[in-house]
Amino acid sequence: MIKKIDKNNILFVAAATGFFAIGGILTTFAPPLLDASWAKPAPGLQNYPELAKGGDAHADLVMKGRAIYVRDGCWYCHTQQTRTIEADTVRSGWRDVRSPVSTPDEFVFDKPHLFGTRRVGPDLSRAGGKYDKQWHATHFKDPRSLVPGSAMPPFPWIANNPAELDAMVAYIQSLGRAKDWRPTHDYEE
Amino acid sequence: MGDYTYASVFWMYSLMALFVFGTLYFLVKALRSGAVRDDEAPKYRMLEDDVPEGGHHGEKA
Amino acid sequence: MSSLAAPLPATATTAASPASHEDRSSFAFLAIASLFFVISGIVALLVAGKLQMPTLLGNIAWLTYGRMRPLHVNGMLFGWLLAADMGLAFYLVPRLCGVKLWSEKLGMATMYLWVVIILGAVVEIPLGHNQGLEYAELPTWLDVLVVVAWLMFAANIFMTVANRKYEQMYVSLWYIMGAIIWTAFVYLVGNFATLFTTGVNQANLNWFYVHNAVGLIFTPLGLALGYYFIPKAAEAPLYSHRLSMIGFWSLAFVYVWTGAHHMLHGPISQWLQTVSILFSVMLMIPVWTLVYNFFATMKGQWHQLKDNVPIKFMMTGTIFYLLTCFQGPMHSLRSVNAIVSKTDWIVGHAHMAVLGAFSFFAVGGAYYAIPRMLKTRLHSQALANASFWLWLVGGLSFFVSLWIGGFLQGLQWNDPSIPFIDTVKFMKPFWSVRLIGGTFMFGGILLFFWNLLATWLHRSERPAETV
Repeated sequence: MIKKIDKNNILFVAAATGFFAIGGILTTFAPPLLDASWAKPAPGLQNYPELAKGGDAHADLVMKGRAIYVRDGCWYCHTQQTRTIEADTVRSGWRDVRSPVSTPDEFVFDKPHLFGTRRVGPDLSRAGGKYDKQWHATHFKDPRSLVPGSAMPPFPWIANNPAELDAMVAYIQSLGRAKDWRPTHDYEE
Repeated sequence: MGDYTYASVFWMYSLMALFVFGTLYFLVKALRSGAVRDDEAPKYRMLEDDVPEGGHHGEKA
Repeated sequence: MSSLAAPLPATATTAASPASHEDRSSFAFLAIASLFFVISGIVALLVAGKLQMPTLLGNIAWLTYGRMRPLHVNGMLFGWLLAADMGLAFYLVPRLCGVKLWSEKLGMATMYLWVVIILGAVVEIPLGHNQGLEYAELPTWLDVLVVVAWLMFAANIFMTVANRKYEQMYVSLWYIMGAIIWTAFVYLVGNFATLFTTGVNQANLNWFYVHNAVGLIFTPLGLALGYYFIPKAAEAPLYSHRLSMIGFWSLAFVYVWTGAHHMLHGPISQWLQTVSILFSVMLMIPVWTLVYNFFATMKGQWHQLKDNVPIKFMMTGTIFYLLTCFQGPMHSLRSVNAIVSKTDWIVGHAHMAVLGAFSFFAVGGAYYAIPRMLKTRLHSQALANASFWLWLVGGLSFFVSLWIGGFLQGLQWNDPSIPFIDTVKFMKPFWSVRLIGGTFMFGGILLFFWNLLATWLHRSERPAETV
């Protein structure tokens, strides 16, 4: 049977598909079935897509900001995951308090997921509440005025458009709030 | 339940065992069926500048 | 485009020489691929320049970094490399089967559809119509067209193979057929299954797709080129067909498991991370069998490296492949991953795989195949050689600067007393070297494009010595 594979292309197709399918199925469809935590929302997690559909104005703003984040490719340079690495918990933390690591239950409603793969800029998984709206407005207009040496491009079409700026800020302030971990209060709720 | 006794860890072990035995099984089967003999012909044939069907022995009418 | 794609001049010698391959769609695919190579190269330089000077064309929304980067990535992957691989598959499959391509008309139709897809992407991505998933940025209507084009390509290849003259198939045919089958599944998962999932589940499918887009699309197609063009260009038989089979089946089995290594230390099940690490390390089996096979084929033929340009490209590509596939398993180890993940090291690694290994295979194959399909000689061996050195020097400085910079940046990240912005400033000199290396490579792309164009323009003045 094995010897015939290189002479019979139907057999070949079957074997190539089969070999691939073992790993293909076990690593795509099986994991969410084996690990229920992927689909179980964290207690503090807001279901913004559903709230926005229900007419919640704030949730709608968050979802609009998220769409801008996707549109302008923010996620190519900013990750949204505090990994199980000590330095990550310090960098994602705030005022000497370490941030908890990111867990699957904090991202149940994310679509598309925005975990990211490259950090040209800092991780944003716990960015919510760290800087106020004025800071973000200035930063979007000219990042280097607040962070000299930054590699972030300016986004005048966001900074100068009140609707987009409000949405972006609402989205950023929503990040990382499924877990309650900060001791002092934020700049903004 | 310790780190090494989670159900998913046993699942990993059984998966690895399955692959090791599967590999050995197919290896033995392949050796017995002669899959590893006499299969070097294509590498010589591919060096010839072949021509499409009908071209080799006189032109296609 | 239509003039490039026009039928080749009727060879007056048809009556005297034996019937030959038409190679119409093969050439057309390579023509559009090399054109998109130039265009994506310009976008690449823009993106690299933006890291140097973030305000460069920075106030125009559709030219912002976050929209040009996916244009560059998709342009290089699908516009250049996949189109070139498809063109070369149309060249070598009929030759290995001893029959003509099943349908040149279908091949040309596939090529036109591919142009529509790429032009669609060139419009949609700068408009910000981004799906938010890496490598799967294109809107769904373009994804559907890609599936249609792939089915057309698959039909042509499988029908050609089904009609083949020789029963036993050479290994390149295996790799091309495998790539077609796997790509179908991988692409559907990455672009359609992700539409129905969220969160970590979607991320897992996304990384399955991203990893296998390289591992089960570009890798098997690139290796098929290596298995064909190395023995052909060196005029020496492959070392072992048997070894190539071991490589093929281990690749088929092992590659698909590794997607989750993009999420190491991240919010994804630990056991899935361990599975991906295990299989990432096992990847060394298919890689080393293949590299040994290519090197052993060259035994006694190494002197050809001096002036055989296709061989230079193929063997350098092999070395890049070995390096890239040694890095890959090493990155997947948790201790190494904690340093290099999310840094520019990975960017260097990814560029060495796609631009180093697989583009070198495609370019070497094109330099070998284009003159033969046009029944002429290459316009200039000297220019082809110059393009090789531009690519090698540019590529090495590009890759090495990103590895050093990325590794050191990763170490800095792991020391939280260093402010993040300092690690960004630290990268700037390395980004400068990368930009210079990229400029060299762009020079190589221009020389490649010009050489192919001139070969085509002067094809009737320079008939090949032997057909």
